Amino acid sequence: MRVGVDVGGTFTDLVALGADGTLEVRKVTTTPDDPTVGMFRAVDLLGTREARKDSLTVAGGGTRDSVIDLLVHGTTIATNALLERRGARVVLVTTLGFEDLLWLRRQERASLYDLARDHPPPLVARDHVVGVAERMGPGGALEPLAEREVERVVGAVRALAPEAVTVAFLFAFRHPEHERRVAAALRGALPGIPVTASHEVLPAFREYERISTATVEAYLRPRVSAYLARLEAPVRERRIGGLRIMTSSGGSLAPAAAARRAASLALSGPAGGVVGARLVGAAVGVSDLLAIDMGGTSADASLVTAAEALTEGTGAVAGIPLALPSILIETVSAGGGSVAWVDEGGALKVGPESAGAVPGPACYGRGGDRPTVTDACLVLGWLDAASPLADELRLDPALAERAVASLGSAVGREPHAIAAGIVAVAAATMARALKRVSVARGFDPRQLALLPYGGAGPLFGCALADALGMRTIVLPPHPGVLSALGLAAAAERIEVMASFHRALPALTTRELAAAFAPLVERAREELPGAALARAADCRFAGQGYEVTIPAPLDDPAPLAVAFLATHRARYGHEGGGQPIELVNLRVAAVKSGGGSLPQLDGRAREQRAPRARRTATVGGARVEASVWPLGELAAGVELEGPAILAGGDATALVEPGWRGRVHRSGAILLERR
Amino acid sequence: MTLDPVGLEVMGHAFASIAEEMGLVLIHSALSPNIRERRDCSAALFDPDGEMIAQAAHIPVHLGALAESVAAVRALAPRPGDVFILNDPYTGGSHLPDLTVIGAIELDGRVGGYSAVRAHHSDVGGAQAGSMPAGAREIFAEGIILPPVRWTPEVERLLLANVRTPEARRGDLAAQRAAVERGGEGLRALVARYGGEGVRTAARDLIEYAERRTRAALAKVAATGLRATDWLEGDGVDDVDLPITVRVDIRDGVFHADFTGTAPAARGNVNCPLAVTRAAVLFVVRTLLPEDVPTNGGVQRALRVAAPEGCLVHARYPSAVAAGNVETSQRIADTVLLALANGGIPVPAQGQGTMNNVTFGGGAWTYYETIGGGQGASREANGPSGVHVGMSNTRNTPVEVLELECPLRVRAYALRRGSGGVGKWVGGEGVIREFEALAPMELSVLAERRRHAARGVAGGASGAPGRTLLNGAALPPKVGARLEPGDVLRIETPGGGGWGPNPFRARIEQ
Repeated sequence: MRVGVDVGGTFTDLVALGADGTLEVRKVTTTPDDPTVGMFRAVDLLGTREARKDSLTVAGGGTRDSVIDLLVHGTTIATNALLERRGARVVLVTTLGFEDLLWLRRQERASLYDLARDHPPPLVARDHVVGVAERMGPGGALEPLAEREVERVVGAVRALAPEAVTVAFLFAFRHPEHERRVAAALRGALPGIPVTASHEVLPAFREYERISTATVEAYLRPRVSAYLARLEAPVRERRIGGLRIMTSSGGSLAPAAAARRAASLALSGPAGGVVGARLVGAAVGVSDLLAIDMGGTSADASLVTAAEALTEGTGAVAGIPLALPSILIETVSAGGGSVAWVDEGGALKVGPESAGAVPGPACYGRGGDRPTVTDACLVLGWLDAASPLADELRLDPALAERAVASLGSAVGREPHAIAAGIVAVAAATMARALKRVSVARGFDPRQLALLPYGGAGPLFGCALADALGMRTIVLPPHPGVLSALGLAAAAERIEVMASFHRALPALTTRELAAAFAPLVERAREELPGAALARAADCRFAGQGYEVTIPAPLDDPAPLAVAFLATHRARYGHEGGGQPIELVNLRVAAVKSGGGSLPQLDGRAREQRAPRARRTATVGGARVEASVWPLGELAAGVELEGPAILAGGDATALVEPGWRGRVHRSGAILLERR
Repeated sequence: MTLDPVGLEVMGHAFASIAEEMGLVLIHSALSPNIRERRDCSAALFDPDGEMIAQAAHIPVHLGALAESVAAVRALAPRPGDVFILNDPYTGGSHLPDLTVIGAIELDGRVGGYSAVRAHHSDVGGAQAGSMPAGAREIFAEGIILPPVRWTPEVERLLLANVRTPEARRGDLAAQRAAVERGGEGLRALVARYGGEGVRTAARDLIEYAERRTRAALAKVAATGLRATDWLEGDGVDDVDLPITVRVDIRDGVFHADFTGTAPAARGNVNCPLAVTRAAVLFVVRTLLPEDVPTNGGVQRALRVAAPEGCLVHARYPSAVAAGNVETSQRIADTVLLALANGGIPVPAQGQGTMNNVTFGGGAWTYYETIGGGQGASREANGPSGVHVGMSNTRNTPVEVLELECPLRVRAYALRRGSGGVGKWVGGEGVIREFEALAPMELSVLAERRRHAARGVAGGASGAPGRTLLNGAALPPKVGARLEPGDVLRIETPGGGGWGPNPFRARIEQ
């Protein structure tokens, strides 16, 4: 049995995949003080037949096998440390004359029109930067690094009593000798203090992004490794076969490897959802997807193209650039907890302010009184007040109605009308952001299918698809725990890279083979027995962006052909005859996670008819909607909007004009009539 | 008003989304770094009367400026589906490198609106590669002039025959055309969903909504007789100070800026057509508005800009204008900000007010960059350090990229400590960037605020003026020189002005 556990801000989700294809789901409240408590509570609930009051059993059946071979964990430990600025006290050791690089950033300002706004400060205090007399250039040392200087630097760093150290020099991606010497001296002198070097973390050109990334690694490493160490004992006690941690790139790592790649965990949680979305897409035969994960405070958009999650190396987390390969995840400030308000010009707005998990939407009855998207959905009859979310959290329609009505006469008199307005504005806000995410990468949403997930996403699928001109929606079988499903199925994956700046036409087969050889060897060492995939980052000479092209052969000639074809597909043209150059080489070692969507067993999916009918407000009109059990429908069942699919982990709304059919994988394909 | 609070917001997002999509299609599929990475471009959607419904301006110098282009095209009796191209600064353009493409959108057999896309092309012919010749005294030296014309294959052949890099231009123009077409598709999809009349009404309501929000914001800062004068330091031909003078009156929610008293048009290329001046004033107005006010024609309705014809900021044909867009627009925005600050309106102190344009070139290569500096402090915050201020916001070139591609070495890149004006809130620090030439090359620097510092507000001190040093010796603000290997050019960019009198408060380091 493989188990995925996604620890989110509010809930901890677990999905177990049995060897026989069965699937079991658990959902418990996250324990923020020590997330491992909630995590192992969910694990221990596996196999229990009944839902206890502090958890929710979602899928029926249960797995017949009880040994956990593998536990894959999606964690927000790194993300939260960046957001809350609770990482290590870091000393940055860098080239003399360039100590301000983290403050200079890329010189663009934080806001075009808000002239007082500044960027978040770097993770390092300015008086914790030590300049080193040394300089590498494109061709090697321009200024040597003296042994006396190394001693001086070690002394200066020790005097600052750091919790972690980063060594990041100019041109270390090509000439790491100086970085190596200083890092070795520091490791010798400061045992127990993690020392990261930029050429080890990200051997790629562009100093600001590399130094920033290496600094993030040092900032996170003590906290992440302590957390991973805390997981060891409970895993051992439960005789769990193996533990792996999800990375931002959609692969998972063994704990020892993850501890040395703390920065690669920055998007560990949301990456699982995208892996899950890709799996569900593959199961239903849809390879190009716009996926949106709508939770309590925000929505995360991502793209799947040609059955692969779109990956970029230019991201930032909490305003700190992080240039490691990462699944594209763009956050939109619209979620179930987003607050609705009327601005001074008389327009209804939703967000960016959120009621968060505490107090949460008014209908949670935890003291919130401002109207949120969730309150509006409840007023409209989309959500069922009778079913608990988790942990005995029941929704109170009276509180929701009172909060929604508080927007008052500006929007309308009738609570249903106001609530319909709130969800229309929330959908318009999200639709605009989704279009931006896709068009900015050269994708036309009209050519994609929408895959909504998260607790609230499936309520907005039809509205978003209509606003974006999309004709197909893929509704996953358990949309509320898709991230955990993705984790359970994720492959083990390690990527190594090296800088390799060469004009492509002048490159020989022998040179390319020789350049790849050490990377291939390292990848084999790091993950024995894995399948290896080679790739090259190529660009038109002088451009500021690269395209990663598979490079299975040593012959460089096919690379040019593949680069031009990919460039045409992504950007619409093949350049104006500009020369092509290689910039980086990459080798990924991948051990498959048995990554196809399991078939749910027959017992769990035998429902063929709606359970009830409910009055709901959809598209501004009162309608009688059929209510179906989400995740329990038999393959081939057809349904027509208006329909509500209610499950323990999420609720979906099928609007009038949409028609659905249950796929044998358990997913539901919705088509516009 | 016919749109309800929900309709306003839903349609506001829908229109803004079309303009954004046009801009992104352009940026994503353009060929040249100037559009792709520097994002020197903008896109906008207009109603059939030529009023702007939504704009995606990627840098502020493009703000609102496309309205004049659409007005110029409307004078030519456009037919549905026609596509026009122009760059003439004296008929709807800004400066010649900005090629503007405008489509008349067909809706039910009539012109239902316009989609317009402007992009800065790094080559439109003229006396020098780059089409920003420093010594130009007439517009004819700056490149090919296109008055608004229908964009036919013949016009494109004529244009491409006059430039040095026709392949790159062809690629960028194709991207512009695709963006203009996407704008038309977007509007037609909206009409299919909400009906022609519904969309038209919504556009009108949104423009009125933006006007209402703009007037409400301006009413809060009502003031009259606010004056300021600042100087442009030379025009590239003569190194003399040229005054820019403004009087601002904010009455009845309308922002009036009158530039009477400004120097006459200069001999060099620092002149601005009125459209650019208006964009610079609009930038200042935009900083006074809440972030969520949509950028459309309603904002411009609350704006009146006047300047004597033939002056520096309302140039007359055939004055040269290439650098007006780059540096004079900055000084116009700065002067207006100073006038507001002098009148007690809570705006930030002046920032570095220049882009510090540096160009190196050898036989077969040229390299151009701009350098950030200090932003002015504001009432509640220190000024950000080492950023682009005002009308530009382009990124730097990494040291490693520069040294891999050009025979140059960067000896230092740092914040210029102590350059921000002191005060209760301290102005942002300027930047030090020091280059060593590794081969013989030509150098050209186009900069400002080497003599006239960014001024503080409410008792805050001025920032330090910038310096351009060649082997330690100071150079004038606009200068060309020949460099030999080993020569060292050091640029120290200006600091921002301080806010409020408190000289004892030390700058808070982060």
